[in-house]
Amino acid sequence: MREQRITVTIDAEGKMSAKTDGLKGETCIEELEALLSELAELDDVKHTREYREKDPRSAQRNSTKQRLGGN
Amino acid sequence: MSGVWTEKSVPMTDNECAVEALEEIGATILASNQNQIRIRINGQEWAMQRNHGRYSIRFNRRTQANSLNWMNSIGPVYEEAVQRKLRRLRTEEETAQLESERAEIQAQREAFENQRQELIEQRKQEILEKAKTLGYRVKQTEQNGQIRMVLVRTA
Repeated sequence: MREQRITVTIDAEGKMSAKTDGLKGETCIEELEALLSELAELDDVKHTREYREKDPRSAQRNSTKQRLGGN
Repeated sequence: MSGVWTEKSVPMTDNECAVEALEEIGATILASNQNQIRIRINGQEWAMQRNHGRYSIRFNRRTQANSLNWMNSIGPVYEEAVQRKLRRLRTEEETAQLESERAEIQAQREAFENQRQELIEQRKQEILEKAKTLGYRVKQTEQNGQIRMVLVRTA
């Protein structure tokens, strides 16, 4: 089982920051948007090496789509 | 780690201070009330709506993020406006001649001071609720006025 972690910090001025661990590819942005987009503008998410790795779940979804589309 | 995000500016909760800060960074105020501030800056018009306890702008992250660079500088300017307003209210409270007048200013100052704490509490609660909906377990700690929420889920 893979652990997914998001650490959200709210400082004394009310300003928020967040960092994710174990979330790959677009899943990282999707999760931050699901969690925070109503509260703040998610304009500038810095991506790390892990972000650029493919999320196996979305890769599987794409592969299934391709198979379905190819038939 | 796969992604890091930091909010561009401190959340602006007070209309008067927000207007002051926006003018200081070169914005023209087109209209302003408690629910909305419309401005023009760098040749573009923006509407800041009061939403979730603060003034915010809805925009398309993929196409408009760069034109919001002016927001990078507003945080410290807004903070100065907050400190100025607080000093003014304290002075007015101290020098008020009538007891009723003093009580009114005191209530105004306390409401102003509580705005930020209310926003923090609101943000914390909304994150907690959303995290549970998304299936995360949440561990929360607080140190030196900073709240840290660790959300964990197994996939």
